[in-house]
Amino acid sequence: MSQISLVAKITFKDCIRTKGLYGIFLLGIILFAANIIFTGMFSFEIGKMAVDMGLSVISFSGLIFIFFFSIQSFFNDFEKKTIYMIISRPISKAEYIIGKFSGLGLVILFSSLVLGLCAAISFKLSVMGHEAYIPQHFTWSFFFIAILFLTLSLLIMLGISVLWTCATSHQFIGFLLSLMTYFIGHNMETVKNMILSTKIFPSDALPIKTINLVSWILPNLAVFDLKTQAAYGLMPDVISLIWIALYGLSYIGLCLIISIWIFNRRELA
Amino acid sequence: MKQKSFILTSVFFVIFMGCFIASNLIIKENRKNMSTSYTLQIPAIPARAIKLITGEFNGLMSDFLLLQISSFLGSNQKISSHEWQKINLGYQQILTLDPYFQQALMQIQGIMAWNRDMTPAAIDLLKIPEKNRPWDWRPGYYIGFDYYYFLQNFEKASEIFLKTAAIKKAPILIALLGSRFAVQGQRVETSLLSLKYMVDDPELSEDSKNEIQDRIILLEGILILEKAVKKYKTLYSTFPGTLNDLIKENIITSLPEHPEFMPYQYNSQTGEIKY
Repeated sequence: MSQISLVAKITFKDCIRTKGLYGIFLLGIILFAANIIFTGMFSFEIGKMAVDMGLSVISFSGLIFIFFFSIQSFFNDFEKKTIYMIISRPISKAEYIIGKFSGLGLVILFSSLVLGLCAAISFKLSVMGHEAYIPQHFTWSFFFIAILFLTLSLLIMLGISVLWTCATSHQFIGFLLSLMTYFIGHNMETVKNMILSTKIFPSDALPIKTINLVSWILPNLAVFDLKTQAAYGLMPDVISLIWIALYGLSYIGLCLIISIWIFNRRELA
Repeated sequence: MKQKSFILTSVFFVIFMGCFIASNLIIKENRKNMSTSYTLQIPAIPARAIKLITGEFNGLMSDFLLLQISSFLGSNQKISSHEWQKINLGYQQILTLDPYFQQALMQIQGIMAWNRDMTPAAIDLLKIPEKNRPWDWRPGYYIGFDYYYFLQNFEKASEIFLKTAAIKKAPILIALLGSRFAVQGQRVETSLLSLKYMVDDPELSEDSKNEIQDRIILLEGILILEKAVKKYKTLYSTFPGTLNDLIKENIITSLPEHPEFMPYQYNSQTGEIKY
């Protein structure tokens, strides 16, 4: 456990040293200004736009961090040979993977926390004096629950990027596969509904079967997207939220286990 | 050598800077009056496929599309029928991305529905927030209004108004309008049922209860008279000349009570009764 926290600490410190987090803070400040300008262009339920904007920025910055920073961070360990320094110590490959994931995950949690607070403050400022235009059912608790689920979907993407990084030998391929997983994860449900709504194919047709199969391999990221519901305060029932959380956590666990399994078989020399 | 290089760099710097300033000034001047968008940039893809592009950023995309349409409509130019179709597609995309969007709902009703050719399309669009905002009486109210005002379909207007009137905190006016159109659309019995259901709502204020109660008395009166006129028509193959003929022929013993002590309006040519 101490080895995992050591790797996590080093990874987290590395992120701070490379000034990646300063960019996130800057994004938070820009969000403040953009939210106030953006919501001023609407006349009804302006709180909805503030939530749209705030939560989208959290998601967007998290994705940029995963695609351009965390994948690079893994490959840097291989290219700069720092991996040898780490695994020559009494740290197993499994501890390295989990530690690395935890460190990068901490950065995502930290950025979600900072940007979440920025989003909440900018929401408050945007609707100041327009309390009547806050959506009728809006609640702060659900706003933060939506941030929590959004963060969970980012952690899933991080888990997937760790998996693809371990499975491939090139940074660009790792990036492309992670990006592909992200797009499929967000759209497979929409594609399935579209195919079914056209009624061209029966429900047991090959395209539907393929999507059903893919849904057992790639994560359905759309279920973690509660932005619209948060904007209007339309909270799903708690039981379904628990199932979604369990789905996310188990998927991350599976990604890490497969990553460790692949990494243990990988020739580092 | 160093001096020559410095002079060369400075000359290029001055040339580039001059070109930049001149071009930027001209561009700014040319675009000074473009405060609104004169072209409508709605992605030409079916509404149900729009989510494939936006992924998880559907809320933000719906905001952007709405701003596009608002900007175009705000340019006050004459909108062609082709552009109305594009606006319709834009609203469809917006409501696919965010089916609760109130600003879109207001714009559809405030602008699109008033173009007679687009009223049916506006009604179809309004049905999306009507379904997704069950707490909000406005979508139903607007749909009912469009059926009554633009399409002159009193029966449908009444049906929608009475359904909408059942939403909590809906203005009592909607129920009253629904019952008025019910008379015109010959749906008095349905209207009575809805009003009787509403009057039992414990959250209804005393004033609203009294107003609905009056309307129930009125509708019951109309129902009695309608049945009596029908009976008269069966017996004498013609409509009665006045409502008092119904008493003379012993079809009813007295005219039903009118809560505002006004006479019921009767058309002896068509047998229609109004209040």
